[in-house]
Parts: sequence; C-alpha cells; structure tokens
Amino acid sequence: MAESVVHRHLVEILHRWVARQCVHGKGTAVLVDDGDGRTGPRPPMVNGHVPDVYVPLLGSMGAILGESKTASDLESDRSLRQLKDFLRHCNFSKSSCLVLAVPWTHVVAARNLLATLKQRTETLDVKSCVISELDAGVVWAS
Amino acid sequence: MTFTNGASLKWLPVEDLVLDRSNPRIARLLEMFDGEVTEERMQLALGAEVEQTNGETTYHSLRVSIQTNRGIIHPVIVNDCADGQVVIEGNTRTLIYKEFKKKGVDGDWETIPCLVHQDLMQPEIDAIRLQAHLVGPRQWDPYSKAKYLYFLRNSQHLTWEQVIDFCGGQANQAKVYVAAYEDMEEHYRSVIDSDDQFDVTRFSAFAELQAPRVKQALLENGYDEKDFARWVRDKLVFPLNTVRRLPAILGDESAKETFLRDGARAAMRELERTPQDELIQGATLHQLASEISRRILQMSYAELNRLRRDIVSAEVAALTDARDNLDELCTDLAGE
Repeated sequence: MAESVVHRHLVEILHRWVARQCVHGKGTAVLVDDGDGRTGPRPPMVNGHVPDVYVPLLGSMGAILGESKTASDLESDRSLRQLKDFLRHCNFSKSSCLVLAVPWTHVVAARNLLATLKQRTETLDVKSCVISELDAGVVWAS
Repeated sequence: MTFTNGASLKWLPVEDLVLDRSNPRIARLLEMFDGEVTEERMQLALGAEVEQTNGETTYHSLRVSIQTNRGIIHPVIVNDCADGQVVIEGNTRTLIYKEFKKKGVDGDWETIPCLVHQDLMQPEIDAIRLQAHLVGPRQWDPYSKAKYLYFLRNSQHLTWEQVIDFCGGQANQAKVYVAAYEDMEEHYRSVIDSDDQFDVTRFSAFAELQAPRVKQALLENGYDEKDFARWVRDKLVFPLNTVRRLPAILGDESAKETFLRDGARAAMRELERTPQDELIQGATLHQLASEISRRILQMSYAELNRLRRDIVSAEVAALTDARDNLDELCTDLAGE
C-alpha cells in the first residue's frame, strides 16, 4: 500500500474511533483533515500544525487532537516537532487529549515515543492514547 | 487439484516448459540482441543480477535456497496455450530447475510444481505479473526474521551452514541478526519496565551494534550492552542509524557529555561544528552532491577494495550516513 493510502486509512480509523469513543452522543463536531473537505470544515491550526482530527470539547478550553502517522513517518523530525507542539497545546487544559493512530506494528514504538516526548516537553499530565487498526475496542488511556 | 479460478496444480516436466519471451526481464534481453536468444543466454541474463538491494532476492540466493529446500514452495504459474506451456511467472525458478537437472545436482529436478491456467488472455497475464513483481509478497520485519533465525539455530539446532543455506547464503546478515536478537532479548528486555514496552522497531539499533568498532567503542569507554540498551530505551540513540556514529561521539569528551544529556543527534551536531575545510563549509548542497557523484564515478578499483576491506571504518560510516540522509531527502522530494 502506498504511504499516502496508509495514511488516509489511518485517518479514517482515527476519525471513527474518536467519534465513537470520545464524542458519541455529545453533539459535538469532529473536524477531519481528509484532504478534500468531504467531511466538512478542516481542523484549525494548532501550534503551527493542522491535526488530522480535532474535536473542540464543549464547556472547556480543551480539545481532542488526533494525528495519524505511518511507520516511516512516525519518527521523522517533522512528526516529532508536531507531536511535541500538540502535547504542549493539550497541556493547557486538563480535559484535552492527544490520540495517535499508527499501524499496529508500531503501537509500542508510538507509546514509548509519546512517553519520551512528554518527558522532554514536561507535559507528563497530558492524556494520550495510541490506537491502530486492531484497536476498535481500545479503552480510554492516560 | 483444480481451483475455483479454473487453474490446476500439476507437476510438469521442466523440459516441456517454455520460457516467456514477453516477460519484461527476458524481453529486455531480446531487445538488446539481434541474434537468436537461446535458453543459455536467457539463463545468463536472468542470473546476471546486480548486488542485492532493498531486501530483494538475488539469483544466487534463490538458487541456494531452492537447493537447500530441495524444491520450491510457491508453484510457478503456467499458461497452457497455443504457444505451449508458457511460464508467465517463475522463469528464474524454472531455469534453476533446468540447470540443476542438467548438472545432475542431487535431488528431483525432473518436474516442477505449476499452477496451470488454460488460455489466459493478456490482461489476466498482466495482472498476475503485476501482483508478483510490483506488489510482491510482504517481507517479515527484521525482528521477526531474527527471531525465526534464532529459533532455527537454537531450538531446532540447525548448524550455521544450514541456517545460512535456508537464507540463500547471506551469511553475514544471518549472523548479525541472530546476535542482535540475543542482545536485544538479554539487555533491552531487562531495562524496560514491562513487556508491553518492548519495541521491536528498535531492532536495527541492535543490528548496528554488532559492528565490531561500535562494541569496541563501548568497551573502551567503560560502557556495556546494558548501557546501550538504556540509551535505546531513553531515545538517546535516536534516530537508530546514529549507532554507527557512537565511536566518534564516545571518543570526544564534549560530544559524549552532550550525547548522555541530549542524545546522539545533538552530539553529532557538536562534532560537526568542529572546524572543517572552509571550502566545504561554503559549498552548496548542489555542489557537494555533484562532487560526491563525480568522485564515486571516478573511484578506482583499488580504492573500492580499500573501503571494502575496512567496512567498519569511520569513512564507510560517513558514506552510509550520507546515503541514508539522501534516501530520506529524495523520498520527501518525491512526495510519498
């Protein structure tokens, strides 16, 4: 599968997962950057980057940020900057959360990477979750 | 045995099979030569492969693997049509069978397993070739390959020679993989808090660690594999190809301090800040890339041999670093 196809696939998984797990029945919008605007308005810029999925949390200043990374892109310089900036953004509100979607083969790598980035950005309290194609039933993680 | 798509599995005499002259690899040969393209010439063309790239199987490794396995695992695909029983996928494997039969190599090379289709049309032939050669079967990730090699070596008690034969003769890679697997299991697993932190994508760091100069640098500076595993865990060795720069980093007090605090990348930046030739510093990327290409094209055989003999040298490490960075840049430029 081409890299861009894998990424699109992960964005779809992320979108479905966030819609089901985080906003189900709460009447809030899930903004998705699907490249062609099929699913409505694009997510806003967050600290200089546009996340793949953005859910404003009603009644708070927080948001759910969703980002998809392919195996080859997960540890690129650009991804590291982006993830650090997303963590810093989430650190402003206790209700915020960063959800990272990766191929299942890279779930542990992504989890360890987020743990390291949280240490380096001093954002240890930020809620985060790593999901993959296999995690349809994943529970909310910290 | 007949399948739902009408194909049937048969063992056909190799001598009855016709090599596919429209096969892209063979067709290239036909375009180059005016004279008759004999089977021997086709064999030369299919066998004359360049060095292994991107994990591809070479003619040599395929040959060794077939001989060791005493046959092939995947049947070749044959189109039974007016031109005869034409091999549309598996020409190289068919040639290897023919070669073994001719040379009297130990084993049964008279017949070869074939998935036989009747009168396939061109679009169907194209679809089979595309799946076989442009998409291809998925390779295992390096950790899984290493785990399996380790299992063969230690649980099945195969000799190194047998393991290496199964891998198509890639001796160095097999040994590095097994050693890296052992190091990763022994040292990395012991420095993580729980098994769910065991990240198999860190495997290449342990494969790079097997270079003698890297291990030697650890020892000379008072470190061991356990320290290395901690550096991998804490992402100080990051990206993973920075392992090969450890000898330079650990050999420089200031870079070592930076490495232990901020990681290999920061340490490398510090090393690179040491004054170099001012002309090089002022050159553009374009100029440097052109010059590297020119030097490589003009490289003498003696020089190439010198680098080969010193495969673990800092010079070769710098070249492989440059290759990795160029690969990454070119992939970015291509957009995917």
